[in-house]
Amino acid sequence: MLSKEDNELLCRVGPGTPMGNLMRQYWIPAARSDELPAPNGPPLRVRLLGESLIAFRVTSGKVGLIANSCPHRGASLFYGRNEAEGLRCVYHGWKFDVTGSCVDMPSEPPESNFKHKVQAVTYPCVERGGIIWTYMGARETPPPLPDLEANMDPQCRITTMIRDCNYMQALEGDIDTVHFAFLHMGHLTLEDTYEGNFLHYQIKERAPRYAVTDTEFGTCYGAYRPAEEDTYYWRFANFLFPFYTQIPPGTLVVNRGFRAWVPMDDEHTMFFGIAAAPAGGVTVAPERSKRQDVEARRVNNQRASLGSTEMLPDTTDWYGRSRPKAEASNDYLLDREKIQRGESYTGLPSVVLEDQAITESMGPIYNRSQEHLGTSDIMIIRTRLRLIRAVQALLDKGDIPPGVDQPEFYRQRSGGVILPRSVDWFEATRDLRRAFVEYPEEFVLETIGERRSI
Amino acid sequence: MAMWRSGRRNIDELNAWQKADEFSTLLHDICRELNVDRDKEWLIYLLNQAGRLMRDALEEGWNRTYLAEYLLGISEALTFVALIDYYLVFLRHEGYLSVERAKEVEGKLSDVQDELTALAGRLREELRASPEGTLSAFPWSLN
Repeated sequence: MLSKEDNELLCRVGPGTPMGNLMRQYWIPAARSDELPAPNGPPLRVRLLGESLIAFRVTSGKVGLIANSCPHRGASLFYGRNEAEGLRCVYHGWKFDVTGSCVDMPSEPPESNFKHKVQAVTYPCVERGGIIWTYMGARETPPPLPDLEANMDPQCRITTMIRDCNYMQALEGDIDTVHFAFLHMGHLTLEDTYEGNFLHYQIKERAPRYAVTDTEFGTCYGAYRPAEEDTYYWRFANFLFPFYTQIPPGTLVVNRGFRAWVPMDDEHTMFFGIAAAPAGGVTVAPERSKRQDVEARRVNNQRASLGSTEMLPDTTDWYGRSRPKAEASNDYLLDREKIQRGESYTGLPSVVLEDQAITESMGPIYNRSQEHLGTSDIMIIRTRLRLIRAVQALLDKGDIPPGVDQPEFYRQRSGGVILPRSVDWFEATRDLRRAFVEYPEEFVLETIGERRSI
Repeated sequence: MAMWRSGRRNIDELNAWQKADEFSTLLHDICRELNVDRDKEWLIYLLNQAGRLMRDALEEGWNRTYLAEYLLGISEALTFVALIDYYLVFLRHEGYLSVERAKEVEGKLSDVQDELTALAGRLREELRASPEGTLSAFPWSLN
């Protein structure tokens, strides 16, 4: 439960809003690099923090991000001609470079100096790991990019998907660990699991217990369940300022990934899922079920059993990028017979679409004054408090929020681990949660309670 | 590995537990005073429950074998502190709690939080020195 005022504070991200101002302190993923594949290619419509922007790649390969409306008479620069090192408005021929300087104004007399007086709104962009990052803040020299491990691996895999709801309810789905055992795995029984693997422990005890703590980067939780007689199975996950998560499936010491819930505006979010190969190349799958393995053998595709997400072709609409075929208007391709057959808890096509359907079903901006958060929602509670207090500190005292100037805060990992009951959950995993570290396979297997490769 | 039971004090002799217990009682009294709408009665239930669980988490940790599990109990108790904090903010914003009463209870909650955080810090020091430590080795001065 949240007061209406705090809910507004948390959710509204447009220009001039407190949360929007907080987010503008950080670099923000604006688009995938492959959405602007070629120099002088077609511009791209991008909604970001409530602003309508046009991304374009100029002749030299640099990326520009310019306000949609031409500063002359407001025509959309989406229709602009992407010419040598600049975008030219087709209405009167004004041309802008990636810094927003007007470099040509053929509609004015040749002797006029007017073009030097006109500046378009642009935001600086850099590319790293297949992502176009932009800085929409006020600093002349932007802060450093965050040290997000997966984004620093050129081989990382990037998934994007639009979600038709506010960023915060999408993000809260990631830090709500208990839903995994219901929404995604509610149809499984102990017989479907391999004794001693992570999934087995989750199905055996669907409601974990929690330890949650504030951290320098945001918040972290450990959800724990009994594993063997003298061990616990721990699931660690992180919220990192301002909109990143690291989720708990997989193996803590090798997971290299993060998720960004980038607000396009108050009611639309672009999800960026960035995953790199497991650290040290050690591949383990401690959460596979017997059903997944049967299904994988059947279709000869390891990922098939988690369900693939069929996407629509991108359109040039503001909300036309990375849109799944399953959406609210077709009930996300719900198949209730799959429930009857015991193949799924929900009848929805995939884990991803289960999350998509559920968070969108809460409405564009969930009214949190109506909710009933219980003791198992403590990570959500703590994360909201952390965000709200950071917004207030920025608003009242000008305090720079966590991580803006500390890229090293983002060197984190999440995932599962088996710990002896005799060790301190937080201290014992301090090194294991650290990114940019590789461990030998034998050690990795030990952390998931295995002695041999699976 | 040595077991803890011989010579261990009762939980109610520990400062942290006493503070948590006092706060739990205060919270219970405040919940009784609150005049909330029927649709908010669940909130009263939840606050009472969180106060009780905070105290119980300490007790449960204390009764386990390892020092690390006591620390885990304290971590859990701190998560309930955060939950209580969250709902107190809501009650104050919505006018269910007077500013004076809110200040009093938030101050007491802050005391509990400080006590638990300091205790966790001291326990972590102890664990670093003796990573496999059982509670039998727990020096009373760390209370």
